[in-house]
Amino acid sequence: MSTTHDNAGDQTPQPVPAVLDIATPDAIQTLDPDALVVNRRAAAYVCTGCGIGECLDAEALAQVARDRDVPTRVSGPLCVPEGVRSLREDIAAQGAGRVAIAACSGRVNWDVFSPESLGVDMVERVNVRELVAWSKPPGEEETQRLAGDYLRMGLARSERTARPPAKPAAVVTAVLVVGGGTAGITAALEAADAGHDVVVVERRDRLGGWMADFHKSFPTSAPYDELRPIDVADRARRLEEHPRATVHTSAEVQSIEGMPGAYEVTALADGETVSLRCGAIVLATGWQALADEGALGRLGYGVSPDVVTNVTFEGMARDAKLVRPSDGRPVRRVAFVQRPGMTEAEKTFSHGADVVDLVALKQALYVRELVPEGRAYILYENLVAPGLYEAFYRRVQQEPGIFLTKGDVRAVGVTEDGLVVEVANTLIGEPVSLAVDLVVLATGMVPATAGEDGDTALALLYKQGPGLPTAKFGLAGSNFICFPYETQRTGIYATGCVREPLTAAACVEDAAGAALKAIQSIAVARQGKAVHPRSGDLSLPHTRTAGCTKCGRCTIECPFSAIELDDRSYPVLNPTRCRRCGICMGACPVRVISFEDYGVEQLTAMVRAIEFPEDEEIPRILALACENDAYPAFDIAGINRERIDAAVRVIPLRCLGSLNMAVVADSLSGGIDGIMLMGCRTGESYQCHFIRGSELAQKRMQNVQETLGRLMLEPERLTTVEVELTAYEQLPAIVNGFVEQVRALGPNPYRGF
Amino acid sequence: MTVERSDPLVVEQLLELGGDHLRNCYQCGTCSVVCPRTPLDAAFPRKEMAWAQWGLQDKLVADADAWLCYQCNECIVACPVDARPGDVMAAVRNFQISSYAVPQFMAKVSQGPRHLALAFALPIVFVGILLTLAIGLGDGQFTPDGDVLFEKMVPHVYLDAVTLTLLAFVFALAGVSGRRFWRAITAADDPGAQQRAFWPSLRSALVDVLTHRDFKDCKQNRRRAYAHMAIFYGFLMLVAATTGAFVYTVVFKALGIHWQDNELSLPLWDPVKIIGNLGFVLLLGGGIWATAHHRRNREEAGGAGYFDWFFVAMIYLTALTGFGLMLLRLINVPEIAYPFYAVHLVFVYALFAYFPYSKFSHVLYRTLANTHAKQIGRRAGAYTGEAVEAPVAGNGMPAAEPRVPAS
Repeated sequence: MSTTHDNAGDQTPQPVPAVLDIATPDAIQTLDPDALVVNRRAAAYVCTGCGIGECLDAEALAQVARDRDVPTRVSGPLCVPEGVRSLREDIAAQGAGRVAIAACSGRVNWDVFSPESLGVDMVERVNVRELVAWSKPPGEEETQRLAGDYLRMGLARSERTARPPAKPAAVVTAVLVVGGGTAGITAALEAADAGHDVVVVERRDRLGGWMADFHKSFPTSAPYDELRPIDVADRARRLEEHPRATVHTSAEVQSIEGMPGAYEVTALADGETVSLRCGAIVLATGWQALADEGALGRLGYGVSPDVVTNVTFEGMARDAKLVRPSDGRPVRRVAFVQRPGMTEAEKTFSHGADVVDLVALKQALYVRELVPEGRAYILYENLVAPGLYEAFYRRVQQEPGIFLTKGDVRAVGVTEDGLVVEVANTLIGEPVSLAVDLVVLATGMVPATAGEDGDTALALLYKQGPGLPTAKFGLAGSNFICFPYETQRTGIYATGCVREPLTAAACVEDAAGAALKAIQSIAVARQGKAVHPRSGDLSLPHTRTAGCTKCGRCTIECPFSAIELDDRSYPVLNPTRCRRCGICMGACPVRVISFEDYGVEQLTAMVRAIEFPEDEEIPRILALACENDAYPAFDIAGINRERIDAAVRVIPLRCLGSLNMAVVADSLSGGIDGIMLMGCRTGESYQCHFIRGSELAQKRMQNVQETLGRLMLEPERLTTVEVELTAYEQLPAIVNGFVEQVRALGPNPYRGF
Repeated sequence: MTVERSDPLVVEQLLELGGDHLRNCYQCGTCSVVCPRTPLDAAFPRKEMAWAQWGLQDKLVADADAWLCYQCNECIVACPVDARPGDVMAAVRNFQISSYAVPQFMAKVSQGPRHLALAFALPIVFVGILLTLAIGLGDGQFTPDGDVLFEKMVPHVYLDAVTLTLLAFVFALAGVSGRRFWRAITAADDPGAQQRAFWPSLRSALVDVLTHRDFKDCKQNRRRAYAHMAIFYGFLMLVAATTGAFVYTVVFKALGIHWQDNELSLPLWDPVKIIGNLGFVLLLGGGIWATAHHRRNREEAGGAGYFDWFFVAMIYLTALTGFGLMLLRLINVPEIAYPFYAVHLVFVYALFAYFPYSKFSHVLYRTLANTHAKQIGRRAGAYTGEAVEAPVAGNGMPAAEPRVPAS
C-alpha cells in the first residue's frame, strides 16, 4: 500500500544524491586490491550429525580429502553454536582460506556456513546428507563411494575456483517512469517520496491515464458498497508539485541505452528533445481497449451504434448522458455482455480478466444512478469478483433493477425499436431474446506491450531489439510467479495494466512494489551484484577474447540482452544487465566464456573427480540438475527418504542453459555411462528463472547426439527431463528408471581409457 | 424471434417479494436438488427462480409446475444465500390467482388489509339482501319469539335461493378463471407429444388429491400433509352436512318424507349433525396442528402472508361461528343467537364469494395443474434419491425422456 504518502509529512526521507559514487566505506574495502588475493590454503570438515555418521564411515570419508593433502576433521553436528565455534577455531588454527564442508545441502544453513560467518574466502558445501545419508541404504559400499565422490568433486571445484571480486560502480539514482496513469503516477510518487529523483514521460497532454476519463471507481474499503469518486487528479497534482519529480506530458521516449544504474535516455517532449540519465525504469504504459469491429459484428459492434464498449459507456456515464447513440432517445434497458468470446478472434475478451467483471458491476450501478427506471442485465459466462469484491458483488446483486445471470450471448440483433440480445444456455434451460436499448461489451484490456507499436514505448538501443520480449497475451513478463515486476530487461520493471489487468486500487499497490524494485536495482548495481534471481551474486561472465570467433551466439542467446558487440564485433558485457545465469557460457561453441566460480573447467574437473569402481557392471551416471527446480527436488526427495540409485552423481547448474555441451562430450568420452539433463518446464507456461534455459539445452542436445554418433555411443545414454520442484515424489521413478536403462546398455566402452 | 417481456423489477413487485431474497439467488440449483417434488425434466423451483429473476412474467403466469410444489420448504432450509425459493413458488401461485381473477379488480380483496373493508362490505350486502328478502317478502322476523330456531329468522327458501344464486355466480366466474388458466398452461405443450386423455387424467389427479399422495412427497414435514388432510376432510364433511340439511329441507319435503321437525335446527343425534360436528372437530384439530407445526418450525415454514391468513381466517371464522351458533341454539339464548346468525352468514358468504380470488382457489388450480401434469406425463416427485442417468439435451438441461418411477 502507498502508506508512504500518508506518512510523508511525519518522516522526511533522506534525498538520494543524483549520482551515487562508489566512495562508501564498504565499497572501499571491497575495492582494496589486496582483498582480491585469495588465501588458497584448504581444509575440510566432515559432519556426523543428522544421521550422516550412522550411514557413512566418516573417517573413511575424511581420508578421501586427506589423500588430496587437505587437512580434514570429523566432528559432531557442525551447525550448532558449539560446532560453529570449534569450526571457526580450527579454521583459524589451520590458517585456511577455503574450506569444504561435507554435511547438509548448500540450500540450508547457508548463513551458518557462509564465508563471512567462518572467516574464510570460500566455502564449498558437499551435500552428503540429502543426497547420500537420507536417500541411500546405510553402510553399503556404493553409498560410501558416492559420498567419497561428492567430496572429491567438491574439492576439485574448490581448487579451480576464484572468489569473485566486488565490482562497485557509480550509479545514477533517478528513476524514469514511462506512462503517467494511475500506476505510473504512483510509482513516481513512491520513488520520489523515497528520495529519488523521478522523471515521468507521458504520451498524452495530461497525467491520469484512463482513470481521468472515467466516471467513478470501485469501492476500496469496507463495507465495499459505494462507488468512489476518481481521485487520480489529486495524485497527479501531488506528483506535479513534488520537488523531486519532473513531468513531461505530450512526450515520448526516443531512445534508451545503457544499463541499470546508467541509462541514457532521449525523449521528445512538446516537440523538444530532452536528454536525461536514470538508474532504473518503470514501465507503466497501461492498456488499450481492444474492440475489433470485424470480429465483433456478431455482437452488433460496428453494426449498430447502440452497441458500445465498456470504455465508451464509461464516458457516457461521466457526461451523465445515457442516450442511444443511434437516435438520442434515453436509455432505459442496458445489457452488459461479459466475455462472450467463442471464436479465435474474440479471444481478446480474455484480456479483461476479472477487472471487466467488476467494471460491469460498477457500470450497472451507473444505470441505476442515472436512469430512474433503469434496468441492467449482466450476462456472463462466469463472473469473477475476487477477494473482498465479493461484498461489492452482493451489493450490486441487491440493487433493484439489476439482474446478473449466466448465459451465452449468441447474437445482438438490430430492430426498429432497439436491440435484441439473444442469450443461449441460460439457466432457464432455453434461449431468451432480450430487448434492450444499449449493449455494453466487456472488451479486453490489452497490454500496451502487445500492440504493433508495443516496442516503441521504450525504444531500447539493445542488440536484441527495441521492445520487451512478451509472453502469453502479449504481457511483458519473465517468471511472473517468482518475480512479478521483472521484465526480460534487467532494471526495467513493468507495473499496472501493462503487466496484468488490474483495478486502479490494485495498480496503486502494484506500482509501489515496482518503485521499490527499481530502487533496489539501482542499489545492487552500485554494489556490482546481481539483482535477481541470484541476488547478491558477484560473479560475472568473462570472455577470453583470444579464442573468440566473434560468432555472436552469446549475444543472441542471452535472455536479457546483456551482451552487445563492440566495434570489433567482440562480445562486451553490460554487467548490471547480467543475471549470472551462464546461458552465454552454455552457448559459446568455443568455450571462451566463464565465471570466476563457474565454468566448463570447474564442471569438467568435478566429473573427472568421479572414481570408477573396478566392477564395470556398476554404472556411473551424471544428473546435471538446474539449481532452481531439479536440485531442490533431489533435496526434498532426500528429506522424504525417497530411495535414489547410488550410481547417480548430481551436479547443480545455475541453469540448464548454462551447460556447455563440451561438458557432456567430455564426460562421455571419460567413461560416464549416462547423463540426465534435468531442467524446468518449457513452453508457454515456462518456469525457468532465465526464461528458456531448459529449452536451449534441449536444442543443444541435437548437437550432442552428433557427438554421440562420433563416439559410437548409444543415444539412450543421454536424456533430458523437465522436473518441477514439486515433483520429488516422481523423482525416484524418473532417475532410477534411467539408471536401469543405462544398465541395460552395459558399460561405456570408454571407461578406463 | 419472439422477444420476451423481461423486467426483473416489475416481476419482483408483482410477486410482492420485496426482492431482497429473490435477488440473492445466484442460480446454483440447490433448491431443485433438495426438492422432493421436482420433476427431472423441468426442475423447479430453480426454473421459477430464474424466470422471476429474468423478470419473465409471461412464463410465470403460465407455470403449472408452481402447483406441483406443496411448500415443504426444504429449499428454503438448503438455500446457501437465503433466497427463499419456497416463498417464491408461493408468490408465483398467488400471482397466478390474481392474474386469472374475473373480474380483475376482485383479485384485490384478499391481497392486503387495505381492502379488508371491501372484503366484508360485499358479504354484508349479501346478508342484508337476504334478510330484506326473508323479512320483507317472507315471514321471517328480526327477533322471533320462543325457542331459537333459525328458520324463524330466515326461512330456508330464501336462504337456499340467495346462497345457491351466489354460488352459481361464483363458480361461473371461477370456471372462467380456470379455463383461462388451462389455456395458458396448455399453450406451451408440445403439439407433437402424445397426451393422456383429460378425464382419466382428472380422475387420477382427484385420487391423488383425496389421498394427498403428492403432498406426502414432502417427506421432511409429512405431518403437514396429515394436518391438511384433517382440514380437507373436515371441510368436506361440513359441506356434506350442509348438503344433508339441504336434502332434508328440499328433497325430503318434496318427497313428503317427515324426518325432523325442523331441518335447519337439527338435534345432536341426527346423522347429518353428527357428520357436521365430526367435520368441525377434524377441521379445528387439523388447523391447530398445522398452525402449531408452522410456529414450531419457523425455519422451514414459508413466509405465509396476508393472502394465506385471509383464507385461513375466513374458514375458521365460518366454522367457529357455525359451531357457536349451534351452542347458542342448544342453550337457547335468542338475544344473542339471531344476531350471531347474521354474523355467521357474513363469514360464510365471505368464504365462498371470494373462492376464485382467495387462497381457497388452490382447490381449482392445483386440481387443474395436476390433471395437466398427468396428461403430459410430468411426474413430480419421481426422483427417489438414486442416481439417475438423465440424457442431456443440447442446452445442458436434462432431456425430457426417462424418469425413474417412484417406488
